Amino acid sequence: MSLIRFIVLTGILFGFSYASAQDTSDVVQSITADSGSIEEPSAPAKSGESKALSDELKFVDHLITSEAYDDARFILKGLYLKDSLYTKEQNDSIYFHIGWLTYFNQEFYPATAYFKKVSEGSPVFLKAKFYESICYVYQNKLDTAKMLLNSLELDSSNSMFAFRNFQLGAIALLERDYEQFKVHEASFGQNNYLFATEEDALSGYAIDMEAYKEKSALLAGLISALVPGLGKFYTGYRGLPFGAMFTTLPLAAIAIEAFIIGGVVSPVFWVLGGIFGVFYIGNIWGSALSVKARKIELYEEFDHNIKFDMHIPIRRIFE
Amino acid sequence: MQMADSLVGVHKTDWASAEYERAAFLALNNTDRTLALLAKTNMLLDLRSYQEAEKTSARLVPFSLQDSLLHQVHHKSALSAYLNQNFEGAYNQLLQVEHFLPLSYQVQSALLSILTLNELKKWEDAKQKTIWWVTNVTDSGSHKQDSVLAAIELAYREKKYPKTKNPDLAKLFSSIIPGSGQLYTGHIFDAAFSAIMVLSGLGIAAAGVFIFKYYVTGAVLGYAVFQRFYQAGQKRSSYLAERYNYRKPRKYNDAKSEWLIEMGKALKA
Repeated sequence: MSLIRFIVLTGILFGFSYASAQDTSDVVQSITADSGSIEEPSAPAKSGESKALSDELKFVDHLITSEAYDDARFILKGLYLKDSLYTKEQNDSIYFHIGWLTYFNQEFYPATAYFKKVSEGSPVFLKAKFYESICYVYQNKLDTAKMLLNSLELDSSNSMFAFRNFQLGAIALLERDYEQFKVHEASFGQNNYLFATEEDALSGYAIDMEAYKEKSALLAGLISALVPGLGKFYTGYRGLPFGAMFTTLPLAAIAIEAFIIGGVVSPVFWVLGGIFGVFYIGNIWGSALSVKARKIELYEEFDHNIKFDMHIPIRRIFE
Repeated sequence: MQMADSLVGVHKTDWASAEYERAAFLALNNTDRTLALLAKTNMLLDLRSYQEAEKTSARLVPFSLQDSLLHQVHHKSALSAYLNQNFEGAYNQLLQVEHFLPLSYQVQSALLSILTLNELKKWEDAKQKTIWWVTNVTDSGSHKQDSVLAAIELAYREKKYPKTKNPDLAKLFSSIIPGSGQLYTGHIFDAAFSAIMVLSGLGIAAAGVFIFKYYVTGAVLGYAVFQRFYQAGQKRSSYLAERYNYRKPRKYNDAKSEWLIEMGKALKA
């Protein structure tokens, strides 16, 4: 029986058994009947099997559309493991599909590796490069993303030229390079309906980001020293100041009462005054720090929106 | 399909799943596509991947199918949804069986319908469905039928249906008298603790003002304790009512499910 198994496996390796599901079914049945073990799916061979691979990729597309991502990943893994059997162009399609699925799963680092494998001249090369660049953006490797986009040879009449300009503009905003953004913004709005909304959004972010003036930490601390909590209001927080106020002011009242009743040498005053002091100083310190925290929060929100606006048109254009 | 079935046999379920999908993709008609997706659903149910099973069965298209297959579609979809705790979804599928399929198929899905109705807290409908089921699978007037019908009457007594507690009412009670909301949900110790802590707040304030003559300190500390436990008591009573509303029917339905499954086995025998 092992001879049969050898013949069958040899058949798989030479690529004549995976061409149709029926063929493979026979193989599986023969293997299970023999030893009860099954090899991983084999793939179509180079010779005359390009249609089979193209069908397989159509099947993968169908799985993705049906949201059967695990199944799509399984099929692609099978194809990837047999990449030596395919032509360069076929492999490029496989790499791109795996890269896309990995990107979709928000695994940006491995996705980059797959997109990188797509060779120049492939029909999916441009797509892969744009996806690769956004993977770098999500990894905060902005310089690499920029370099990659700039290295693409695009004709100015090509719609992708405008799209690259849009992506570079977004990266400039992520780098807070407003001058550079303006250079890219000058070419916005050339009837690029696929990303016109996002272009407008970027311009809006740029105005808001540039208009944002960082508050003074010293002033925030001083205001909080005068009226506890008010420093946080000055930095832009609306709920927090009242929390700080409602904690510190009653403690102040308690400390004052202890001072009036027991005097400055009273242990009660020392304890209650100490508690108030900790809260009072902590509140001033917190107000000073809130300037930085507020800025970070605000920019994180901008960054999130910018990245989202970079991602949406990529999917709209290439899917 | 054969290949996928063989793969399931040797526990290569990832591969089998992909092959069922391939069979569905390559199917020339809806019957073949349905058979492939149903087989995948069955496999996922066996693997206890109920969410995936429901997702797969949601892709079944109930058109141009023979009654037996159509029943499979609705029944498996309902079962997947039921096991995935989507009882409304299961109920909708079972309604399709009830409205569009012959009696014999309705009888086959009756037990699942009853279990679903129980979960939806439609116990009176579940009782009627159980009676309908028993009258359809046993001989009219037989001793077996009479005894089972009597058992159903006993099991589904209206006054035994789990009563629920109103979370808003529990919160309101706690707002008026601290601890009473917890008492309403049947948690005596919780109620006592909440009432004691709220009273402690008032006690601290009173002691500060009247005994130690620290007016501000007494008022502030007393208020802080009072406020903390007063608000927490309100939230707690609302939460306890929600928990009661989950646990009580759960216990009731678990007992009913066990009883119904045993009864189903007995009726088959």
